[in-house]
This record gives sequence, structure tokens and C-alpha cells, in this order.
Amino acid sequence: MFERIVENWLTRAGEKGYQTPFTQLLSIEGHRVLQGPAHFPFEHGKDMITLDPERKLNAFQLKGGDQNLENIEAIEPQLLALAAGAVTYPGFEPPRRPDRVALVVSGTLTPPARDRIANFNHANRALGIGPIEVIEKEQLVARFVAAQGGYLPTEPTDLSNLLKFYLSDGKGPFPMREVLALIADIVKPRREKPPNTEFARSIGSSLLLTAYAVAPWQRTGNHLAVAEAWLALSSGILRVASEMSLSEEIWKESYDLAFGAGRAALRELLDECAAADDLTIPDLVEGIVYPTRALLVCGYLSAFYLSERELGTEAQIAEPVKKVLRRELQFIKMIGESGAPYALSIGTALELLDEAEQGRLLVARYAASLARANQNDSNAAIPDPYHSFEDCLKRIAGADVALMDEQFDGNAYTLHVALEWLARRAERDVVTDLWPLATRLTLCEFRPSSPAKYLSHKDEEGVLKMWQANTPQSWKSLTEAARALQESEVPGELWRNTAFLPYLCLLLPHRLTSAIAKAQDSLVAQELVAISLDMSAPGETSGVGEKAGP
Amino acid sequence: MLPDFPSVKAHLGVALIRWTQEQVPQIAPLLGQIGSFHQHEGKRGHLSRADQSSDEVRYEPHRFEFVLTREEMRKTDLPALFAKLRKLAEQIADAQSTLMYTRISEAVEPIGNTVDAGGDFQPKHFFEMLSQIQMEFDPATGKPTGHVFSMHPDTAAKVIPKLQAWEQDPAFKEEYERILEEKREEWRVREDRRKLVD
Repeated sequence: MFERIVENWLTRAGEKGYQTPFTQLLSIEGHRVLQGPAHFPFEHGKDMITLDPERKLNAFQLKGGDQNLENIEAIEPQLLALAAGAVTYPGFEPPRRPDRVALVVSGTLTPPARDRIANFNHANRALGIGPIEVIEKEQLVARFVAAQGGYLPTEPTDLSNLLKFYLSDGKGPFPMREVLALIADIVKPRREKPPNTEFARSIGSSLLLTAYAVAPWQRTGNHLAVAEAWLALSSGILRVASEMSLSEEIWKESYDLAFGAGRAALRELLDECAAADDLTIPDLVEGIVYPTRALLVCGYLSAFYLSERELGTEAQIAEPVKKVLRRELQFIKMIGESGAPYALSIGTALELLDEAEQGRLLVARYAASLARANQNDSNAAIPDPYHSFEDCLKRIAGADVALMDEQFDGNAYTLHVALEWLARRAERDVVTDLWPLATRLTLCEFRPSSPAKYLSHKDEEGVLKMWQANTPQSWKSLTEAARALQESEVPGELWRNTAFLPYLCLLLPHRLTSAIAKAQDSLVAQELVAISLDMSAPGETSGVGEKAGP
Repeated sequence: MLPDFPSVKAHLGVALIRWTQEQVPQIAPLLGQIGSFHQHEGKRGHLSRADQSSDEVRYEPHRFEFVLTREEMRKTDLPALFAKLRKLAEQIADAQSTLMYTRISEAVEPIGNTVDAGGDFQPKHFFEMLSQIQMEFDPATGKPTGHVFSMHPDTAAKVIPKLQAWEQDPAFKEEYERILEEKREEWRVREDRRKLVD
């Protein structure tokens, strides 16, 4: 059954759809990946370059679907470059031809196409150029299934769930929590203290399973959902690495692949949005969902910009990101507190894109609308950050969802975070206006039981902190508290992989705490946050109203 | 396996549980005036108040009995089911009310914030009680808001006629207004503190 899923997936996956999993496959097979999936003019026909377990240099050209003679003729120059071009890679001096080269196709070659490759190899042999091996679907299926090892969905429920995701129409949101739960169930270590190789295999398997699960969203070009899937997996890998204190050699390659796939999907989302005049998907009720789509898209593009900034590659996306944000900002509306990390992300990106006033206005508007809407006995209170955008929209539409039975008035999880964000930027007037309203609310924040749990969807050992804002509140101590962060409050893996930090709370909005927001701001400008290195217990500090004030 | 109607059952199940929950504040109106809060993860909560006092939030599991025999299942229609669920709601309301009064006693007794009338409720007890509570007022009308006197029906039968009689007494009214004005001033001070200072 699983083999059939992999076969079907390969048949329908385009070139981009199987690049990342193929790279992971090679990694599981013992290759060291020197260059991952690349599509730049200077790739010289080589999508991927690896060092195999025998220390031989391998180069791969990947193509999606069946290939006929016409297809092969069209890529002959690329194949020549693949076989004859030298590999230039730091540490491999002087540049030399690869020891092995392969054309990988996710479908099959027609007999004339196969014959053309044979002739091509024959002619090249006379010139001292090595042959091009052809890897087709049948071999790939066997290798993918073998690479999965013991981490296969064998239980009927798991298979049924995987099939459910796989057969989705790919139009709606990616069912992140369900897919991650399925993956966690399948790839959990089979014994108490598994060796490192077993961890590496289970992490690699989770990447392959994600590729299968995300396929429908990949096929429909739902780039945001694809990005969410890969970023959610990245978060899962960081969580396991953090909780189990795994060394980087076990998980980093898989993490880089998943994170890279997420970045690639966001780049496609950006290109699509920047090229369009709007974000409309025509429908009678489009107006009800458009403001949320605008928030979702702008939030992710902003986080993309902030994340690329950490990697030093933001220059090429700055203008298109700015263009989309400026165009869509006016349509954004908040329907739940899960929108808070998106608002902060957009506000911060706008600041860095020379639109600081617009950014601060957005965050101030969010804080004001939340402070007013969630007052005691209000019937306009918005749901807490544990509820997805989809559930909030269903609630507005009157659908019967679980959150219909919950009360949200009198409480706020993200108001103090937004007020601190504004305080760090010396927006005293805004905070002054909102403070009386804030004092009438119970401010809430869930403190995970350990920093690593910030990366976890649920933590039953953590504690919910609830407090009332100080009356009166000293502006001086408020700003001091808003800028103070203990390094130990944030997982070490996040400090070591700061490019992931802007995405964390978009994936897990209920993990937006004072500490995480400060950590995110510390990436923006050093003067915004003062990080102390003391070793006191994590989770017992910060929370503006709780600790600050007289 | 006999044929079944799982989606109808699931829909009705959710609707009936919601209906049962909605009965609780009707049975115990005081509970309806208290907001509820859903903690999504973790088993512990910690509350810090504006007056710097703090408490651990203690969650207590409650179990209620609801029995429907096979014989009843064969003939219980919706009205009959509502009647049984109403009894379940009464159990829930009773448990929640008991817990609320227990928690209030636990909070006020150790700090002496109680008034013992010794079985003979007099105006001085009433005024002492008023003096010891924090009062909120409507900013537009200046009238007290959000206060409820909760009494056992037997106590209410004795106390309410007394209160009605005292209300006719000018001296009682004067003292009542004096305490109210004191409370109003305390409230104004508290409201004035809801601000940012240097």
C-alpha cells in the first residue's frame, strides 16, 4: 500500500516536488550533500552534487515526469555540462569532473529516449567523459521505500490518515497539526536510548513523509501551505534536537533541507503575489475571507523578509515584499489573537522597509482593537491564540465549532506583547491611551515547562500565568522590562538558527510570549533588547505588567 | 453490526451537551454572572492581582452520574431526554456553587474578612459588611455595579423584610449613603490609578 502511495506521488510530482525528498534519500543512503537542489544559470547541468559513502563525487540532474526523445534532445547541452563540466566546490581543489553522474527522472524514459542516452554515452566515452546513469521511477520507488526503513505508516489508521492528506484537493490550509501528529507517531524512536543513526533515520523519514503529505498542496501551487508544511517540519526537527540535545550532524542536514524547501515555497508565494494586482480568489463570499488571507500572506512574506535578513539574502526580495505589504495593508483585519504574531511580523518588516509609521500604526491598531473588544461582558471579544484562522472564520460564519462554547471577554493573551513591542519603540502616547483598558483585562501567557517546549504544539507541564496590569504603571520600568530578556528563556537551537525565529509564532501563535517577541526584536536592532546571560530558571521572568511597575 | 446513524447522533450529542451547560446558570443564576475561561494546555495556573496578591489556580475534577438504561434508550424521546439532562445540570450547578462558596470561605476567613451576625442580623452588620468589600460603580450613573447578595432561602426570608423596613429609616439611609460615598471615592482613586506615570 505504502509503495503504491510513493509510486503515485512520484508519477504526479513535478521536478520541484521531489527535489528535496530525493536529496534526503541520498543523505539517508550515506551521501554527503555538497550542493542541494539548485536552479541557477551557473549550475552547469548539476542540480545536486554529493560525496557518496565511497568518497566518490556524484552529480545529478533531476527531471519530473516521463521523458521522450524530444525532451532528451532539449536537455542535451545540460547533460553534456553535467558529465563533462568540472565541479567547483570549496575544499575540492583543483576543480574536477564528477566520478559518477546520473539523470534522475520521476517517470520513465521512452525506448527512443533511452537509446539516445546510450548513444550519447558511447560518443562521450571516446572523449574520456564518463557515462550518464539513468535513474527512473521504478528504482526510485524501491529506494524511497527502503530509505523509509522501519518508519513506515503500517497501522491502518496511519495509512488512512496519510491517504486522507494525500487525496486532499490542496486548496485549503495545510492540516499542520494533524500531519505533524501523524509523523511524530510514525517516526518516534522505537527504543529508549536509540543510537544517533536511528535518530538521523527517523528525522530523514519524517522529511519524506512530509513530502508525500504536502503533495496535493504542491500540485495546486498553494505555496503558503507548502511553506507551512516544511517550516512546521523544521520546527519539529529543532524541537527534537533541542529536547534530546542531539548533535548537529544528526539533524542539521534534514533541517536545512526542510527549511530550504520552506524558503523556496515562500519565494514562489512572493513572486505570485507581487506579480498579481490583488490576492483575490473570486467567490460570492470572498469579502469575508479576504482580510484574513491578506493578513496570512503579508505575515508570512514579512517573516520571510526578516528571516532572509538573518541569512544576509534579503536585498533581492525587499522591493517585492514592500510592494505587496503596501498594497494589502489596508485590507488586513484581525479576527482572533492568532493574528498577533502576524501583525508584529508585518509591523517589524515595514519598519525595516522604511515604512515604520505604517508598521507601528498596524500594531497600535491591533492592540487597541483587542483591548476594546475583549473588555468584560463584551460580546465582540475575539478568540484566544489557540484558535486557528479557519475556526475563527467558521465562528463568524456561524458554523458549529468548538470555540462557540468558549468565552473570551475579560482576557487577552497578546495585548501585553503588543504593548511591549510599542514600548520598545518609545510609543508612549499609544500605550498611555490603552493602559486604562489594559488594566481591566486579565492578561495571560502560557509559560512552557522548558525553553524547548516553545517548539512544541502542546505542553502539559507548563503553567498558565494570569495577571492584572499595574495601576499605575511607571513608563520607565515598563520600557526597561520590555527590553530585558534572559538568553536562557529562549531555546538554544533558536539562537543558533535565528533565521527560523520569525516563523515560530506564525506556526504556533499561542507560543507568542513576551520573551519570544523580545528575541525576535533582538534580531532587528540590538538597542531594542538587552539580553542578559544569567542562568536563572527559564519561564519565571518577563511579562510586562506582572513584573514591571511599582 | 446493525445499521446506525452516527452523524445524526454526533450532532445531537453536541447540541444536548451544550443545552445542558446552558441550563446551569438558569438553575444557579449567580454562576451565570461569572465568566468562564478555557485553559488549553497545562494543568497549572497562577493568578497575580493588581493588589499584588497571588494564588495558584486549583482545578478540581468533578464526576456526575447520568444513567440511561437499555429499556429507556428504546423509548426516550427528546422531551424525556431534556428532563433527564436537566437533572444532570442540577448536579453540575450544585457542585459548582458548592465549590464557589468553599473557595470564597477559604479566601476570606484566614484574613478575617467576615461578619458574624450571630443569628441576629442588624444594620451594623449590614454596614460592616459593606465597609469590608471593594465596590465598583458605573462611571455614567455613579451607581454601584456588579454586587450580589447571596443568601440561603431561609435567611433571605428573614433578612429581606428587615432590609425593606430599614430602608424607610432616614438614619439608615444616611449611613448607607455615607458608606457608599466613601466607596465611590475609593473607586475614583482606583480608577485614577489606571494610567502610565513617569
